[in-house]
Amino acid sequence: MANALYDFGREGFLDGSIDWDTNDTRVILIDEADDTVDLAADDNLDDRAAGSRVATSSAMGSKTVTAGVADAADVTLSAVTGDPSESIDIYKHTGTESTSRLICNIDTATGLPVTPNGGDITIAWDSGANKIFKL
Amino acid sequence: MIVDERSTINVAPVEGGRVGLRLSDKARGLMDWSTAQAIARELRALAGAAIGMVFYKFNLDGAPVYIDFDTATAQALADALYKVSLVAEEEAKAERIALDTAILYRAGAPIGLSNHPVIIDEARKEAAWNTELRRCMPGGVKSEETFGTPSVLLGPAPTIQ
Repeated sequence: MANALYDFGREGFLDGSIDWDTNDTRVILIDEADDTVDLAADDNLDDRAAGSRVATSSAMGSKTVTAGVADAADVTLSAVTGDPSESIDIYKHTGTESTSRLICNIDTATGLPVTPNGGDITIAWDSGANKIFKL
Repeated sequence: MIVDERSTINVAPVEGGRVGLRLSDKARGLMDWSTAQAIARELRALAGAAIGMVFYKFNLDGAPVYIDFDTATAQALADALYKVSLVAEEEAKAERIALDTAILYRAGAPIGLSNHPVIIDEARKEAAWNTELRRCMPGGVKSEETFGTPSVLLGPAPTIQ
């Protein structure tokens, strides 16, 4: 597929339920073999099978929204073990899976798919014009 | 001066349609482009005639007035008329351009076929609301968001002590 916003993530930006630079947003490594992404139907984290979530980050830091471009500090997932991961999800973390809105799915990245080896995995966002994504 | 009547160009007023281009007409089917199309055709014909024009005759207060042209002037006039004809043609075909652009928008290819803001605005509306397009190309207007390409860096595996 291609990197894309979830429809409900896009909706969240428009209805104000997602505030990129103030909400707690996190990154998940996803094993697509355990749960195929559905950009139109998946709305919250509970729509991604628990078994597909290989590793979850802490809250993303240094987020910016300038000119509609979402950016953040690079994310490091520590001591990752588990299945090979084909994509990365970003979601709004509320502490409750059924209300944690999925924002985007990234399956096109240098280094994907990645097979965890127990070491750290760092996700370095693009430093070009589009950063993580541009609305 | 010998007058060659073949070089005389008469632009008759176009009867019937509106002279003003009313791109603001919102309801499809109400746009009348016949006048604009006629203007575009006339301008194109004028541009073609101007290339070989050595003089131009028009009537002023009932008396004929002749303007002599050198080749460069005639060519410049032809070029100017041709450019104006292209603009007129764009406006004459605005509805078709807007619909073609709407198809591209709905297909996820946000390529404008015109830089006329009103045509582009109309194309956006058609892409979102045109009943036939919605039936034939379901799924809504594809988003235009763009992504960067992140790098996933795998660190070294921990060593066993």
